[in-house]
Amino acid sequence: MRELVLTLNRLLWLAPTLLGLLAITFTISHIIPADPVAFIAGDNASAEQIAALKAKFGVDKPVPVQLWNYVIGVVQGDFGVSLYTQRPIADDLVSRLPATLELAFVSILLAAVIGIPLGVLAAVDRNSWLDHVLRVFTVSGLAIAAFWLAILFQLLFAMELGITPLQGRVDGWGPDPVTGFFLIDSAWTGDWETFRSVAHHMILPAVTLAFPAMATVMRFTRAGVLDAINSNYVDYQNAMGVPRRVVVWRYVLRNALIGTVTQLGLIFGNLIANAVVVEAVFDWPGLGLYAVNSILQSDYNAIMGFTLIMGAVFIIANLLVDITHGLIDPREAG
Amino acid sequence: MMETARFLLRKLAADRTAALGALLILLLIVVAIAAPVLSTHPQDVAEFNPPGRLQPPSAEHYFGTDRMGSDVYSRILFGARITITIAVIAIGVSVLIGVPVGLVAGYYRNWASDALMRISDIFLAVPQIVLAIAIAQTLGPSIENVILALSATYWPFWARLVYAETRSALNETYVEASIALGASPGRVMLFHVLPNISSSLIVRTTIGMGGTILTAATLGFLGLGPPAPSPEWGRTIAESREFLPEAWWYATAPGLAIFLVVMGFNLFGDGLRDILDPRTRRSSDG
Amino acid sequence: MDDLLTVSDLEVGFQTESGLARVLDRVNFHVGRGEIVGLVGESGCGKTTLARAILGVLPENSARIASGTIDFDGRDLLAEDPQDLGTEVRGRQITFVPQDPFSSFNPVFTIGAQIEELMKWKSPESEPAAAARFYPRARRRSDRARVLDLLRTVQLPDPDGILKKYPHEVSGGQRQRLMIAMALLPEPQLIIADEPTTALDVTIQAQILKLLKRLAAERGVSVLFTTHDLGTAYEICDRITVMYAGQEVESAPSDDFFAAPRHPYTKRLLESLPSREHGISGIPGQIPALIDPPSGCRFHPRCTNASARCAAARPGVTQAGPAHRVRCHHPVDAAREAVS
Repeated sequence: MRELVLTLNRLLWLAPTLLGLLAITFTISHIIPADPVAFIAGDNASAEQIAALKAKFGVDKPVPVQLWNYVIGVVQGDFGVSLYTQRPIADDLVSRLPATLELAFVSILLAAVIGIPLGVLAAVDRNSWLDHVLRVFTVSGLAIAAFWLAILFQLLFAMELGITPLQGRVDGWGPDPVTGFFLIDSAWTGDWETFRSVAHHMILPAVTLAFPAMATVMRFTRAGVLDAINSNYVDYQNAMGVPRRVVVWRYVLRNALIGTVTQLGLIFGNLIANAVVVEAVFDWPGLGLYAVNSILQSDYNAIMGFTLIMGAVFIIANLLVDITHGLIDPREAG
Repeated sequence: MMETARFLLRKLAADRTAALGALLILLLIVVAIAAPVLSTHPQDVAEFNPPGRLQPPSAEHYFGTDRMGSDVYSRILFGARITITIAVIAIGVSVLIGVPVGLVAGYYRNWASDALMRISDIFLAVPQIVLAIAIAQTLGPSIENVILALSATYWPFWARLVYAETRSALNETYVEASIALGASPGRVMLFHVLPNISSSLIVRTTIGMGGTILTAATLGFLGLGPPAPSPEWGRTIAESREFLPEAWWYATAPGLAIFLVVMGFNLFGDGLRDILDPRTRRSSDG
Repeated sequence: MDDLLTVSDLEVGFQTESGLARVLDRVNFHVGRGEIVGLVGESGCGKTTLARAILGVLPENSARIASGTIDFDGRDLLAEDPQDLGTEVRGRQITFVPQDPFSSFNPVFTIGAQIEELMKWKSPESEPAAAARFYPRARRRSDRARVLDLLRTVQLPDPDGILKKYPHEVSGGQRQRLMIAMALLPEPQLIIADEPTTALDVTIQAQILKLLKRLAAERGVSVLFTTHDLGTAYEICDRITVMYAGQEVESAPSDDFFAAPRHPYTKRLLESLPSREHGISGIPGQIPALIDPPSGCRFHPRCTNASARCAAARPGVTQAGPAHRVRCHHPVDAAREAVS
């Protein structure tokens, strides 16, 4: 019950938070009266042409009016028109969101599948050579710049060894978009050749993004397992002669994972932050690449839209983490 | 005070990884200060030698040369100055804004403190880099604007942290007692709450340095940092991309520099936390 | 008499940063069949270490067993393979009631799930050697009936409902009743209860102790009960052994023990109980550091009867009565100085 109220409360805050974010990004984009219209119109445009363009993009009105119009637009799902692609930004964002989410999900999955068992092993065999190797790995994972790691991977696996594609998401056009998740879309239609191509393209960006996430997962799993191993209930199970492997893999892991799950919001945040540059390096057609291209084109509206959608994704992710936590930790419920 | 410092030093020296971290930080500082002396081609920060471009590492050029024929090693040394300037000022400014905001909002329970915290929450609702990109993009590429973008997006983190710590400190018996005895709000904040949270602040600042250096490098990589021909590390990596895989040293060297520096702050921060912040000790090391 | 448990000359040390702490110094100790024995002493006297040594769960990387034997029902527990002890003895023949019923349950599993896991491995109906990967349905059903029956026996209301609850949803007293039920479920010969009531409210302590005593007596189970509280020991124990700084100093049937203590430490301990005659009085001096303990009888620096002999050698066992043993060179004259 309490959990439900908290969740509802958070859902209610979603709208004001996004509105606040909108106000902040709008303010940011109007700190300097830059003139992107002139940039688009070119040097030879006449005064009339510029005025027409200004009217088209709505930048001829006072700033508060612009903000109001913008808010009204966003509420109706209209983020304005991209100065560069000349397409509605909402369409651009929606079409690129699945690519980013697919990459993020695969990376988190990878980080969990590898990071959790390694974290347990490091804790169980504390101070063994494995623990020390994994610790170096953890510390490096959090210190390495994602874009640099991406370039190193490209250099080694794509350029030198030639065993992975250099960039892109798929060879050819990719599957017909249903969900926009290429792995799912291609598997759905049984197009295994495309599926393989998508998976092949995904290896390097996913591993790059998974690397720091894995470090965090491992770190918290190890700490959680250690806490649990030193707990009284494990001592009790041990004193009652329940086999150690049962205690560790059944009892301790569940407790440790609760701690790891609470960190998922943080992990996800770092991951999508890194996705911006990693997508740029791998030419992965997601939101990150869109944002980088918008930066290069000084496309403020697009950047604002990107910021807002990132905020929404991040807030919803955190909400999901909270709900999951409430479900798996009985102490949270009731 | 001296006693405390000596105790800290002894503990840190005993912790091998923290000592390594301290060494790396020290190296960064020395390199930043003595860059003109330590570099082999100090003039290459501003001057170019196009005929000698993209040469592999040699005794003359430890890390080879870049697209303009400049010595990569020398430019990395000067890049350390940019990195340390950005990180120190950005963290300093965000702490100077965030800590007072958190203290005041934590001390007073009224609509204004709620509003301040809500604003912080909005900033924290997106990963820092996202807002920093938006700001840096609007302001245009320069060191000052990177610092501004980082500070503007980092202060809410400190405000939140200090707010929570202040609220819990106000429940401590000795703070309640001094309030009951008529201590002024300023006195309570400065002499009771702040010392209580200082070690946690020191630890977070150290670890925050690492994160800020990474974020600054990312902005540089995206072209939002100081413009060419700045030897900023992130920008150098971005420049190197079109010359891969041949000029591998061009991309590798600056990334390694970022890695070592961030690693230094992270290791040192972990070591500090073990000593200063025993509450979290178990989760950092077990 | 054929005792269930006999500990002989057990010497255990702990490796610490500042050296080897000699926590148990050639301890002799025994528990008879069906007997409830109290192991009494101040914190740090080694009673918990002794209990854990018998269970075979001393911390692996720091504890060193230097000498001695622990004989349980004809088996030398220190000589056997720890793996075998885990499957055959621990949780089956010897069970455990922990000090803190709050944290000894895993907070994220229901009580029922935790009891079921225990029964999967330790049900009296199962063979110890058989791996419990597989939990036969028939046994699961009969085990469940057994569990519900025992929960009623320990006077828990609504046993079915309690099994579905999480540990934080039941009270401390109820959790300790559950712990006692779990200790009885495998039908052991010996229950080791390590300060089982310390974490509970005073009002509940007495109920829990009486319950433990009654159930143990009904089933003929021996109990080794550690406590720092002489009063609780007197209430439920048949016999009491007192430890001081890693040495056992005196062992006697409860009545004898209170009526005629022979060791000076025991006598001072009894006097330190708040009473009408004495008020509150402590024992002068400090509990010694176990890194560098006093030689001979470790109590000698604080003992008013001490002589040079006491520092030179640890006294042997003196039979002071039929079941009354004391280790002192200068025992208190029971006839003259008896505490009334």
